[in-house]
Amino acid sequence: MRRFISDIWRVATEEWRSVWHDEGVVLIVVFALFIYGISYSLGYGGEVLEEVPVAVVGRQGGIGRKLTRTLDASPKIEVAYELSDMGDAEQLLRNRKVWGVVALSADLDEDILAGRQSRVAILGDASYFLAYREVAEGAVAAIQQMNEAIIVQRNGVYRPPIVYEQRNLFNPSLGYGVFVMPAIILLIVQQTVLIGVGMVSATRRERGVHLPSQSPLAITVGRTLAYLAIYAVTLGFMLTVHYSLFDYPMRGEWWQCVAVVAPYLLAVILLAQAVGALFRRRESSIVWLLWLSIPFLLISGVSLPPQAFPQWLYVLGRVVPSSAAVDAWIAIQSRGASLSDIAPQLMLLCSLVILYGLLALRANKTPS
Amino acid sequence: MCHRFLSGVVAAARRETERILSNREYRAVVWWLPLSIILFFAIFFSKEVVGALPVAVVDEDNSHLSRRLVSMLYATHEIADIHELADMFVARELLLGGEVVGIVEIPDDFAKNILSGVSAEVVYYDSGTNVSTSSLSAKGVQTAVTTFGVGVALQRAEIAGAMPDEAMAQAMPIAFSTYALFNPWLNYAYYVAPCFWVMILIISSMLSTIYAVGTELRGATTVEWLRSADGSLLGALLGKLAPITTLLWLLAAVVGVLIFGVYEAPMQGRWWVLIVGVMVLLLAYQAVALFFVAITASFRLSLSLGGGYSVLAFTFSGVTFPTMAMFSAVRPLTKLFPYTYFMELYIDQAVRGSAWWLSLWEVASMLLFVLLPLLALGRLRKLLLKRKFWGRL
Repeated sequence: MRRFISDIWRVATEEWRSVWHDEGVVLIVVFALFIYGISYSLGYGGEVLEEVPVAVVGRQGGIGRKLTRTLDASPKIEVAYELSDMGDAEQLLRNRKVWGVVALSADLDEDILAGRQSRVAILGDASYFLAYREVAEGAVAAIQQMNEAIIVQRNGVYRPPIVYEQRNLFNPSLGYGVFVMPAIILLIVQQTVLIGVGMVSATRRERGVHLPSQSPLAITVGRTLAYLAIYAVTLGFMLTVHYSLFDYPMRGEWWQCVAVVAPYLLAVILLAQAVGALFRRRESSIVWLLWLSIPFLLISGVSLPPQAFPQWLYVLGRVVPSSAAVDAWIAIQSRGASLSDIAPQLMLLCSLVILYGLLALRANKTPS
Repeated sequence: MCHRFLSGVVAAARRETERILSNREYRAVVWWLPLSIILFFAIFFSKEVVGALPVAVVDEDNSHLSRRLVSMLYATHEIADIHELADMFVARELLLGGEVVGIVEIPDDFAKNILSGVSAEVVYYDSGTNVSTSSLSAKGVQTAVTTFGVGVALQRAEIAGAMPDEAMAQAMPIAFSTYALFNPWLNYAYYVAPCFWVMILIISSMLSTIYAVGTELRGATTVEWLRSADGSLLGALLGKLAPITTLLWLLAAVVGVLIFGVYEAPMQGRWWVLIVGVMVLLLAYQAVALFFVAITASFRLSLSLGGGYSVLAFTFSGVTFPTMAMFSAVRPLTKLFPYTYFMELYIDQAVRGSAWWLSLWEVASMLLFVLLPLLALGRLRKLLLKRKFWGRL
């Protein structure tokens, strides 16, 4: 037993040394998480689209002017141009100067004053989804506000049958970074562990070096501890300091977070040892695994909902540790769920730890 | 001279083709891996319509008016997967666990308020943690509730003696219709899938080019390579890149067949602009790859650098998260990725059907990247000739 523990210790320190004495590995295992995490967070840092420029076509008269002002006052859109010709509006759209056009009817004022219904066309540039959504929502809200004002002026009160309200509970402004970054951070961890461990394994094989133990169990546990120690610090930093810097939601208790992150890291590190045994050359892991970041993100069902792609792919994707972990992590941290709400994901993660643990044992048995 | 140069290029290209054929990993990087992922995306995006999103409905009123609203919710295609629940507490549990994306609450005074002429309140609680499901489900709920509300308002006005037209004008003085320009299908496969496919093409261009040169450095075979092209650096480079470029363009053709043939995405603009665009795009990434190898003088480091550079392009292109929403300090960075220019060209030509000359600017910008390695030719030559750069890991 003593022997076993000292073996684990020696393996762990040797693995630790292999990481830190190899600048290529340090770059991937230690720094890549910061570099990618910060780059992505900066890329999505604006969080929400505001004041999307639109053009108003055909404004005449007092009511048209008031409607234009109401449109401009919306936080989502900004009236950047007032035009009389649709052709000019099309040019602006094609040159990406505006992302939508609000076309008023020529008889707007007369119709409203005569008590007839007038029509407005909202044209949004759907070649960029987010911009389209902002234009449509902003213009619709402004027109509804205008309708209320007209009805109040006519009847003295506005009493619609239904007042409808939408509340986004856990991401009030529907920020983009708040939406994708929790998943992306966990996925970067998975990619860097897979590539980094693969690099260490292949380098050792290339140089014909062996770890200081014969026991696959001691090797597996020792190597796992070495990476756990690194990622406990780096991922810990990302999930606390980086999270607060960018204002990502932190609704979970620390022990709930650990309950998700710990089995996730274990599953990923064990999987990486199993996969790492396949590489013969130290650069091979980058070459083979770099491609997988987008498929892993998609298959987790976090960016596009599972309803958007074939169900069997979604089910198949559950064997990737990030799939269940990202679900569970967003539930705990972004929505403030309890552990019992994510019991299925935790069970799945634990099964993956066992499965990949067995594969890692096998991989660490074959003399490297 | 010219003839000698050309036969050098051909010899280097022949040598490279043999290297590709004899190395399993090389074949994977330049062909099988990108092809598999491209096909994976084809399956991933094969569902034409997004299935109904799961939404909880808590009907506290359970009156015949509230039931009518619920049946209207069932009728929307965005959220037809409805979980009818007895109370908000149960619904909240489902929302936290991620089993539903939102909760529609119909309060218990719903029918009473409508019948007595007071406004009834309907709230849609959306989780908000997924921006794409949020906007889809909210659109479904809003459509149903608005349709219901307009129906009631019309009924009221008609009871009060108004003609249908007048009733409409009273309930909604200004009516509106929204039109989705350029992509009236609002179809994900037409829009998102090409972004991902092109990502695979650029990753493939980057990695295979670095691999092609990196393996020579690693194996200390650079002199042999240079000699195959009769000592001409330019000839050696062109010969080496030619077979890879051919395969990359073939991959691009596969993607084109998938987008326009299998998915039948619309092509509104000029084919030749799109084809020239993708060819230049892949050349641009090959050029950047050479540049990275030259400045790092390391196979592994240039793989890390090139990998990062190609993967980050997606975020900084503005295709999903628009450039205008980015921090103003970050915005100029979008110009550093050929991918950004190509996606603009793609959207202009395929989706918007813009004039061909509007895309010249994008082609010209990508061509600038193609020129990048010329700045590092001297450094490349040194790499190939000096022993100290060889065999490094």
